[in-house]
Amino acid sequence: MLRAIEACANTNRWHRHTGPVALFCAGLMACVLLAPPLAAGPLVGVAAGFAAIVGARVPARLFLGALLVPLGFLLTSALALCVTLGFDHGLTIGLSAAGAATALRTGLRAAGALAVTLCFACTVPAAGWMALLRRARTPEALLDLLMLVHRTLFVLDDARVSMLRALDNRLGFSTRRRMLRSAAQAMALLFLRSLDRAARLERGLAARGYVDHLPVLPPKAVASPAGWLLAAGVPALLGATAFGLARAIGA
Amino acid sequence: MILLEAIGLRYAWPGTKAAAVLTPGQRNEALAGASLAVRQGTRLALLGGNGSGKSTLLLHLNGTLRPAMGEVRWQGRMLDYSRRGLAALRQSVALVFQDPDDQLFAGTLAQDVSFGPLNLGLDAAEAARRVATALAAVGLAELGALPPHMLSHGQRKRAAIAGALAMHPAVLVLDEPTAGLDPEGIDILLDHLDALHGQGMTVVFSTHDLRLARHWANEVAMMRQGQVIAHGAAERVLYDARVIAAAGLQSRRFAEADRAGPPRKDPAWLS
Repeated sequence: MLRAIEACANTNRWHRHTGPVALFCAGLMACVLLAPPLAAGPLVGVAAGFAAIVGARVPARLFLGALLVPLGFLLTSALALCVTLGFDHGLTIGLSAAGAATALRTGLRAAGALAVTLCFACTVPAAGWMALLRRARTPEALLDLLMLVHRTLFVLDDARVSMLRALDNRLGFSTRRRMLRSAAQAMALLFLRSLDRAARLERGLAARGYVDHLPVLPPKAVASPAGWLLAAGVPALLGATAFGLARAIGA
Repeated sequence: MILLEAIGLRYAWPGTKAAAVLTPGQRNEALAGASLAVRQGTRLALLGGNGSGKSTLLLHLNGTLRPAMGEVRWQGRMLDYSRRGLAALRQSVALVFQDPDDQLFAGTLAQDVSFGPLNLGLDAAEAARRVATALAAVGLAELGALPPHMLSHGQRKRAAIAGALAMHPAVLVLDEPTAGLDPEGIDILLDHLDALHGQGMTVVFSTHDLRLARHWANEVAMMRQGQVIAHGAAERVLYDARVIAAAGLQSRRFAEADRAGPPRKDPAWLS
């Protein structure tokens, strides 16, 4: 999933329009956080999904598939909010109307925010959002760290995949006990591998003139006035609609 | 004219000094008095078996490692290991690692290639020009906006070379440039190296592939146990059976097969 999202972020139709897309996502996020959740949650969720799938041509299967796991966690948490426990006359379990209302509001807000986050992850490449952070005057040391962590994640992911394949091929996952042992060994080895990788990368960067900073050119980005207008206008319109709808339904 | 010279280098990797754990005959030094001269315009192959010290020697040539004993000279002058001295040297001697993941770090290829030029203090416009030229020189002009992990191993190798080329070095040092490449990938890489050498670049590369050295190098240095045991014209060193055997580059089974000649008849599975 990590690689699929990364590949999509680098190849979607909007991958060079990082500025407007970031503004659009920030606007949607503000909208879902500030507007009444019963209206804003679904509206923003649908808008983010529509923008990603129809606008940026993110594969629907990828977008919805990536939503499923966090939505599962969200559902579990929401269900927990709906339940009350009492100990006055032994253990009693009951449903709480107030809890259900809270769960609905929190769940819808969180689901909307989740869709916006995923829309951003699938449409803005890492180099793009790092360039935006640089323009926002984020400390260089932090950006260097972000860049190295982002790259190392994928290098280590390769190592993880090969390691697990090797263990599996030697029947390392054939029983539950072996599975636990193999997983523990893989994790320990991955930790050592990450240290080795870090040392090798440091040597590689030193050979290319690294001293204390990782200067790179910003990626090429494009933005049109119409793009900026849409990026600012759509979330504003959605926010206004959410407030209007909420008033209409009395939420 | 000798551009780069290593004289009597000795080096042990940290953590390998525990002589007590070595079996008789093993050594704990990666380099044990290695010397090498790199002439301008040469295509020098550094040959040797695994653990012979090739990579360690190459890491000394652009000051990435500092020898415990011995010295490295650039254009006749001892290397200056100060920050400024190393920056100047790395502009002239660029090193490409065997594993491209050891040096690719940025979000996109173009950004990664821009790292060297920006470290040289060039402005963004000049750095961008160099990035475009270097990526085009290795046939990756169309892929500059992609992150390294979306490329194949061969493409990442070429991207690593582009990172070195963008610094406009006089000497390009490559550690096992063809390792992990298929024949087509090797051809593409050698075509690019041909073009670079044609433009006057000195190329030093390590390998244990005799065929590659025979095909591409005009000068060969042979390493064994941390020392350069032979160095000279490729046609002389590469056809000296004693040197090849001493460097441990001749497979016993392949040698026997070569002596036996081609099979007398087609194997049964072929008919």
